[in-house]
Amino acid sequence: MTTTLPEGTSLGMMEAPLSWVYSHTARFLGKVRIFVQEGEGFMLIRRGEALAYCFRHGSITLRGNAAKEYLLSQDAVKFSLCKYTEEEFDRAAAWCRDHGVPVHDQGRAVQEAALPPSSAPPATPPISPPVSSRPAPGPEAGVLMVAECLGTDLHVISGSRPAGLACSRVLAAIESARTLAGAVHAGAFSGVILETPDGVLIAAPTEEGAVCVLAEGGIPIGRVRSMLAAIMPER
Amino acid sequence: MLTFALGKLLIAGAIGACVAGPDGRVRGEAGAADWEAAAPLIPAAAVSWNSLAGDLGADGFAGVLIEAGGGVLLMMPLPGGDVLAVLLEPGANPGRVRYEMKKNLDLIASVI
Repeated sequence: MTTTLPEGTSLGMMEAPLSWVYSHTARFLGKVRIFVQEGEGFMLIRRGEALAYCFRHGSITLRGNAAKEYLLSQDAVKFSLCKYTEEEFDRAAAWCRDHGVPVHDQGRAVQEAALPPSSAPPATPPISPPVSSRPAPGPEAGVLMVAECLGTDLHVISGSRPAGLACSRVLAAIESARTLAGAVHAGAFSGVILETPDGVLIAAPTEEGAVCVLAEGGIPIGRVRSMLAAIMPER
Repeated sequence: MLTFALGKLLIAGAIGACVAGPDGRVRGEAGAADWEAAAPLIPAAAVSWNSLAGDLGADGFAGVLIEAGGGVLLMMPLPGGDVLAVLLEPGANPGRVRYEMKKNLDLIASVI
């Protein structure tokens, strides 16, 4: 493992918006050491192209896009341009890969070093296909249970009831949600959708208690909200 | 830095984001929503949602969406008993905001 980032040859310290760096490093190969308040970080630049970002403040380390966005959010940063040789740049890129800093050096096919899998976001947002291209799901597609809480009694209308499910918990969850909606002045409370790793429980208050729908996990949130809207007229 | 991270969630109709601590205090916020009244209520709400999730066989809740006439409130648990909350205006896109919350959850947890 490369233990330290090469120092390079410092060309001096200055203060400017980060955009200045992009527009003045067209022929620069090296590291830009960056200082923001008590924190310090760096960018690796290969002839106008920023290939890696890292920023550390105390015990907090931002890598890749998170570091880039944070640095770009600053009006101005103090920085020092440190010129690298090709060998030093390669060692710096290796250091980044060893320390989990993404390097996007497409020109040299060094692209790798993604964040650890546990913290890496999905590559693209989950996008539902257009409604017109999706086969119309049956009214109960993905629905595991429809039930009504009458007081503390749970009456299953369709599907099967999870062994531990109690109306008192459903009503308490609804009440907590209703109280919070009031506290943030969100208007008249309609219902709550509770997501677990395996499923979704949709619950809406009624005069007698509540109506709830248990559905499989992974259903698009828009469809879940539609289910909530669908059970509300039954109140 | 927490304010910066929370600011990344202010998209697609989200008007405010905060992290509420297990003691009911606002640990950080961004945007225009007022969390002072809501934050003290969040720990107890999280307990009730975790209990319900337990009834469903899960270790805890992964997220909550509260639907109301004047907006939508999205919440997700963070390590250590903190809760991330985002308030959306009516007509906003909860799916997009929810995706950004999931995407930035580790970042937000790391800067608390």
